[in-house]
Amino acid sequence: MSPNRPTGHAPPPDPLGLDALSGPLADTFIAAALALAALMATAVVLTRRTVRQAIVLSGYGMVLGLLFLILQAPDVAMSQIGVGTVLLPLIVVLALHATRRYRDTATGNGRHDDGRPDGADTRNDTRADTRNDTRGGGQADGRGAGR
Amino acid sequence: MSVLPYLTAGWIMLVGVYGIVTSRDLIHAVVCLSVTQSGTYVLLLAIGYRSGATAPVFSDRPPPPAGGPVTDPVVQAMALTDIVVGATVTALLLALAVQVAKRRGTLDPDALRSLEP
Amino acid sequence: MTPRARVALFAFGAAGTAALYTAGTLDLPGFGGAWHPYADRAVRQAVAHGTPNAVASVTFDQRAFDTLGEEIILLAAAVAAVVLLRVLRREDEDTDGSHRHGPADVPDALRLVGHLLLPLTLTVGVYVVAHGHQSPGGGFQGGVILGTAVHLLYLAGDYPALRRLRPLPVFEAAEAVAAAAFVVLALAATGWAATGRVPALNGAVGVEVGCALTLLLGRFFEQALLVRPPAPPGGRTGRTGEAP
Repeated sequence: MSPNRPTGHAPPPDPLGLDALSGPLADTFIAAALALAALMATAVVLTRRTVRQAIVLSGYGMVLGLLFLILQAPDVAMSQIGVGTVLLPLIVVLALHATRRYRDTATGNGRHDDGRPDGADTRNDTRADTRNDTRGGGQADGRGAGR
Repeated sequence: MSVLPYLTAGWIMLVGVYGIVTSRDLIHAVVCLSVTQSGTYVLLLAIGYRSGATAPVFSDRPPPPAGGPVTDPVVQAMALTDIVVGATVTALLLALAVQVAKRRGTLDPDALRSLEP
Repeated sequence: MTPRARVALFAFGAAGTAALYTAGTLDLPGFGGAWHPYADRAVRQAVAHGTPNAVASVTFDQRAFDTLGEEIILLAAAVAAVVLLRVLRREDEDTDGSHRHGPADVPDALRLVGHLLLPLTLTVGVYVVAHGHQSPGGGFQGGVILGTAVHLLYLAGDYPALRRLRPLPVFEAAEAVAAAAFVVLALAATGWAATGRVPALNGAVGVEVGCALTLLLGRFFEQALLVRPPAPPGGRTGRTGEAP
């Protein structure tokens, strides 16, 4: 934390004047970061469109990293920022891209994998229908708009 | 303030489980599982926090009796290894989801009625 | 089970969990309290062993056995994911060379920044691994930086260069060697001073995490960019086929 922050109201005395983040200011920061983390976690879960969810997940990773930094855990924050904001969303996006044929083109343009009798296309159609029926309205992210 | 961080951790875990329960997409479910997991990091670090403490690194300050209190390095070590290892486990789950999509043609857990050879 | 019944069951379970969890937290030592018996002992040991970063000391010295377990989990998960994501030959042949190598049009500025940032980021990764025992950082964090940095080349629109820079078989071998090195070092280092042990184990972990993540991301990139819909019936004689 920045060295010129007032540390006057630190409960334990700080004899060397080192840069401990303490007092009401620290409590405010921690409470704000906790609230933000809880909010972002909820947002990640409620974002049903998976591509958007990857972006929200990246933001959640960054918020968690900040929270860990405020909780005086720089090692964990480093790990979390690397994994949570870069690695995990990247892997999710790549997995989404690898499976894009099974979600976007649900009506199947000439796709018949393995030639199974219970054609995958019908299954995908029913899937799209149920998705639109059960969760079509009221989602904050407006999924189903482009379907 | 004294239990708020613990309750936040509990909220993050429960909201992640809620996401898994109501998920219509295996990749969405895996992401929700990683959210659930991140609740444990918040809980661990909240337990290890100490008011007015600094990070447990002594390259530029004397150790505790002289240099002021530090946060708990034990829980930090647990959380930091688990974050990286958890990411590879999440990648494994996503790889499973990719395989399910390729073999079964869907990612909706409700469409996967039975285990199929 | 219908979705409604499932949510109802979840609400029941969640209410119970929430009640028990809240009751449990009320008896925990308060947040920010001064009573941390484990922390005091761990910090004292770290200082006594001469490792300035107490977290690195706990990870690679005081609880190195625990880290060994985490290492094995990481190795197992990475190997399993790589096996699951191998490109089958029939998928590979089906692409007919129509591979997409990434974003077609990358602005020159982005291309330049990507190529400039790559050596910088790799240096930062090595620094974070190498100084893990003195400052915040270490093998796990530096490994993440190293493993993801290589893929800046994809952002720069240079997927062929990325493939040349990242021969996956080499990384497979390097990951296994690093995992074995961690075990051997952990056994051999019991007699060493902690000042030598912690950086050595840090380095082994850094190499292993970096290789594991590079492999994982490489396989995911292959799946995302190269795999096309498989041919209709096609023989299931799939083997690991390296793309051209």
